[in-house]
Amino acid sequence: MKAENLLGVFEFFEIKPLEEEDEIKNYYEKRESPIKSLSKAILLSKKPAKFLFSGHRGSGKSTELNILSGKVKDKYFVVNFSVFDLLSIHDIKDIDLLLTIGSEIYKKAYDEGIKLDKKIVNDLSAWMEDVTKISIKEQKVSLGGEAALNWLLIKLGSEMQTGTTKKEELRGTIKQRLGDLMEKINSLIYEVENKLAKKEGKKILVIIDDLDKIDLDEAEELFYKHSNSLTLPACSIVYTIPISLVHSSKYTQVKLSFANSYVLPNIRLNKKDGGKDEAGREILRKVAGKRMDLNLISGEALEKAIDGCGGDMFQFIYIIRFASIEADNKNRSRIEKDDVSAILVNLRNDFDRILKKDDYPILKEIHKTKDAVDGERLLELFHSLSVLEYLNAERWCDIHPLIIPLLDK
Amino acid sequence: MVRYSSLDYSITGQIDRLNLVLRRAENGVIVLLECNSLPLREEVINRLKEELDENFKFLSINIDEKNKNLPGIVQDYSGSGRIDKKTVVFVHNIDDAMPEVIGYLNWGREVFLDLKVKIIILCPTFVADEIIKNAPDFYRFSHRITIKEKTQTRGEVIPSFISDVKYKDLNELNERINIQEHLLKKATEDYKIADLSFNLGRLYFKKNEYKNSLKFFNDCLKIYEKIGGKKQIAATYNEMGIIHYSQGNYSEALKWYKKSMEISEKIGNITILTTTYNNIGEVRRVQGNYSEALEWYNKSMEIKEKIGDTAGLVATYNNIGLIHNSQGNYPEALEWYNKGMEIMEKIGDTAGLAATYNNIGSIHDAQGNYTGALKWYNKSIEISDKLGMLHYSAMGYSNMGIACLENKDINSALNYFTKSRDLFRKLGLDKDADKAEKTISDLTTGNKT
Repeated sequence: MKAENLLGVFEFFEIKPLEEEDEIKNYYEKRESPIKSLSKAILLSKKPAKFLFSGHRGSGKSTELNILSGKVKDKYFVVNFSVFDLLSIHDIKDIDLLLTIGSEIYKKAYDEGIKLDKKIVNDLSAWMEDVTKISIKEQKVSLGGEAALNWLLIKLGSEMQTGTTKKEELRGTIKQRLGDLMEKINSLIYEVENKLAKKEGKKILVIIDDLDKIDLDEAEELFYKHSNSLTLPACSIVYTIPISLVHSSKYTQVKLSFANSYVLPNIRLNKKDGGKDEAGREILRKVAGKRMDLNLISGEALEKAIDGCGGDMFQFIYIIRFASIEADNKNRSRIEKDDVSAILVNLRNDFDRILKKDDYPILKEIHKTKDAVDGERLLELFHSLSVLEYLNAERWCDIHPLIIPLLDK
Repeated sequence: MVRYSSLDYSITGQIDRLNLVLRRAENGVIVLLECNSLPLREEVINRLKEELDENFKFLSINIDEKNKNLPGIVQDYSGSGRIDKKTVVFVHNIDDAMPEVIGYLNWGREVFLDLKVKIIILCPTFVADEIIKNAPDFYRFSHRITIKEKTQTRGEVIPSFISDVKYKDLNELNERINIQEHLLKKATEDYKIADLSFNLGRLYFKKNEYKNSLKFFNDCLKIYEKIGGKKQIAATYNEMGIIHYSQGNYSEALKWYKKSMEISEKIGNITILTTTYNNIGEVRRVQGNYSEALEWYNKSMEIKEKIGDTAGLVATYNNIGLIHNSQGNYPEALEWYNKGMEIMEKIGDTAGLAATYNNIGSIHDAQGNYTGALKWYNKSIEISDKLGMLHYSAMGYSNMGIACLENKDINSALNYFTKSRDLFRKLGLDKDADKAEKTISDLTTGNKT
């Protein structure tokens, strides 16, 4: 299924990762990705391993992680969650992540009807009640042991997202009882795996998405200062991390605590010497073709959209989606070059707004040399996608194509 | 060599013996007075001075870092006529002259014999140990008198675990052991067996089942050594050190702590490193080497404060408090205990509170406020009983016995010592049970000094 008219373009170019197997089958276009290596590493690990996964915002990490889930699902009980849904993105600490990992494993096991040993459920309930001060007994509805714990964890989740004071108190308490927390989480992991062993012998894999959206400072705090805590759960975990952390001076140290780290490269549209990279451009053409009848966009408009996105999958989808509205507004039956241009102007204005005067000399230099040297400001430029990195074969950088006209300002 | 039980509740017996030794030693005598508590040392000296005849003279020598040659110093004093056959010489601060003074003592032992001097060297346990080991010729000629101060047998230490087990009561502890054993039975992968064995080692330690605890730590160590896991190995070494420490095997404990420290230094694991610093300090403290103990505590504290490890700080604060307590700096000791208590109350560290309440009790006791002491000991025992920390309870009863005894309430003392003995026995801590037994026997037969 794909868009047969402009109205359909808006629908089929929905900006969200591909999740379901069917979606991936229909709309995913093969590209250079480390997911094959990552899935192999997970499948071959004899003991729980922790991996880091990064890429520019919008590069398609979430879709790749969903593909990863599919690749390992026969051997792994995959617990996949986004920190956006469960935590407050601007305030995430190691304790929050550990608690959420435990909660999500339990909730998924509960949802799938995995019956855990009563004494483990009771012990975990009593401990959680004690540390969270959320009383199961206060629940008017009478719940069984497993359901009551599930209720507690859901309530805890909402408190972790909103209540600042309570969250701080909870962190303080649990930080001092980290050993106990890990005993509980790991006992839960072992028990779930024991039950799974009877059926399919699966192990647990946790995939934490959207951690790449956190600020660099917060990411350094988590992955540099508290990397030790993040490796404590006795199951394999894939943590997403911001691309700026990959460029930070602390990254070498960060990597030491994890089994391996992988970066999803942007789709390369141009060569380092300025010539067009047809292979990369063809991927985006095919992506468009899988979602729409290509008669709905002129060749020029499509190339303009490809040029303007800089190889960022999210932006490519975004540009075509909203260009379809522009075209529709003009009562056109297909997207034309100026429809795409209108969207690109908006995106360029966004860059204009976030870039500082001092950034331009840095950007000019990068555009000229195709190389980005260290510097704190550079990390922010990576974070804002003003500078893009291409890791295919040879590593090189360039500024986002939409910024080029701004350089002469 | 003269040695006394460390559970002696009165120093009178030792002073009487010392008195006798000094009077009879016509040709001089070397006494190694092993005592870690500074106030107690002072008390011994004052009482000796009171009880010896007017014919005796007293001289104090303070060794310092500049001149560590004790035999030489004594010779000089003798040459200038300040020491004669009637002089009792007290030697202070020998720990400041370590380790060089050991060599001087061993080689210059003849000086003391030739001069027929009556010399009492006041030394902490670690110096006495060094003399036994490294100045054997000198040691053969000396009398060793050990006076264990009250606080040493009573102070409750908070050992630093990598991540301590906290629990509400014995039921919870038993249930947790059940769960880990249940999971262990089903575990087939090495890493799971190692992790669950490690947990069981920690949980059994809390039940004072040291044998079981050690067995599980050994089990997980074997696996970690096979599958690799330096961090886990370092953590296990530390826990093994704690077990040996808890059984009074200090040199063995030190060996494990140092092994743990070496690995954690290599792999840069700050948490384990600060823990081992604290625990090495603890061994040095019980050996009476306060200055070295403080150095380790400070090393540990500095890093913990920097990284915000408040739970870890609690143990170090408590242990620094114990040093001040042993040195008779009671207000300062209280200050450290309070610092620790503040955090413990905040984080709900009830086990830590039990230890601190006991330590505060011992300060009241040392100051002669027996009612106050009993109140704090009671508070400590209440929590310890609830948490199933029976070792703490047994110590608490023993302390209550001592306080009652000092308050001349023999019946209550007997009652508490009996409770203490029974609990120690139940826990399999026979050495402590025997000491309590001896005290009960002394009290009932009126053999009390």
